[in-house]
Amino acid sequence: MECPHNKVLVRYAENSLDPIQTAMIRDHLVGCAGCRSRLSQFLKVEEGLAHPPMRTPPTGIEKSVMRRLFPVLPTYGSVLTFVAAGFLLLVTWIYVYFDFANNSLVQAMQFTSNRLFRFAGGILQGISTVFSAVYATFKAFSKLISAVLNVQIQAELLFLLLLIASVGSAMIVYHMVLPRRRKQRQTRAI
Amino acid sequence: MIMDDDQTLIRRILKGDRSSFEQLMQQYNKRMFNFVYRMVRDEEVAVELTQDFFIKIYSVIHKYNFQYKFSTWAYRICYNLVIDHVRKHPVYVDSLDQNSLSRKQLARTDQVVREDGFSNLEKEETRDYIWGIVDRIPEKYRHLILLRYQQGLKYEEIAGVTDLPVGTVKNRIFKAKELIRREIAEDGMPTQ
Repeated sequence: MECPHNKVLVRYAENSLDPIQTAMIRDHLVGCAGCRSRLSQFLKVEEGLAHPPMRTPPTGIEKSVMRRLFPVLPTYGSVLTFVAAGFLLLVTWIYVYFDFANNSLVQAMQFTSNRLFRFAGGILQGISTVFSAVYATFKAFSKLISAVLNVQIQAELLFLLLLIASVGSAMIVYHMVLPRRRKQRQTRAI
Repeated sequence: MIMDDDQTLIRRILKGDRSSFEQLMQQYNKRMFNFVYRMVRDEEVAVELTQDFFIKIYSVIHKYNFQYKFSTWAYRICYNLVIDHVRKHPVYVDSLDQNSLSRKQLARTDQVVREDGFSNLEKEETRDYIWGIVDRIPEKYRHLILLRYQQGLKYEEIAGVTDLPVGTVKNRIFKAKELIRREIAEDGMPTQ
C-alpha cells in the first residue's frame, strides 16, 4: 500500500474512517515510520485542539446589556415633582413682583428685567416682548371667550395654566419619549 | 414540534420576560465571549462585541424561526458581527504563511517546549502551544477551527453558520490542521 494522503491520516486521527480503511491504515503504519511520524503530529494537533483554553469573561456583560436595552426611565413621580417645583417657583416669583391691584403679569416681568437683571436686561426685554405678544393674544382670546360664553376669564390664569402645561409636556417628552427613541435608534444601528 | 431549553426561553422572552433573556445571556456568555476574543484578541473589544451580539439577538429575536436550532442562528449572528468587525479593523497577524517572525516569536514564547521535547510536555502546555499556533493561522481557517473545536459545532452546523458548502468547511479545517502540523514539525516535534 502506498503512503496515505494527509487527509486520510487526519480522518484516521479523527476516527472517521470506515473499519476497512482503518484496518488498512493500521497495517501500513506498522511498517512505515514516516507515516507514523505524520500521524503522531496530527494526533497531537487533535489532542491540543480538543481542549481549547476558555477564558472567563469579565463580570457585568449581562448587566451592561440589560442597561443598554432597558435604560432606567424617570418615574411619573419624579416628573410630577419637577412640575410642582416649577409651579412653586413661578407662584413665588409672581407673589414677590406682581402687584395684583395695579400691574399685569407682563408689567411684573418688565419690572423684574429693569430692576434686578440689568446685565441681562436685553435678553429679558426680548423675552418680555414675546410674553407681551403672547399675553396680548391671551387677553384677546379671553375677551373672545367672555363675549361668546358670557363668563369672565382671567387672561393671567389662562396664561399660567398654559405655561404649566407646556413645561410639563416638555419634561415628559425630554425624559420619557426621547430616551425611548434613542434606544430604538441604537438597536437599529447595531 | 419538540422545543429545547433555548426555545422555551425564547418563547418567554417574546412574551416580555426579561429574566429569561438574562438566563439566555448567562448560557451563551462564556461561549460567545471566547469565540469573539479568539477572533479579535482584545478583551475590551471582545466585551463590546459580545454586548452588541446580545443586543442584536434581542432586537431580532422575533425573526427567529423555531424550526431551526437556536444556537446555530445565534452563532450565525455572532459570526457575521465578528467577521464584519475583523474586516473593518484588521488585527495584525503574525500569519504562519506570511513571515518568519511568527516562528521567531513562537520560538521565544515556547522555548520550554522545544528544550524539553514536545512529547514530554504536559497536556496543558501542549494545548496552549497548539492554540498559540491557531492564533497565527489565517482568519479564513481560524474561525472554522474555533467553531469546530472551541464551540463544538458539527461540520453541517458550521456550513450553516458561515454560508459555506460542507465540503469547503471540511477542506479548510483539514488545511488548518495541516498548517498547524507543519508548524509543530518545523518547531522540532519528535517524529516518533
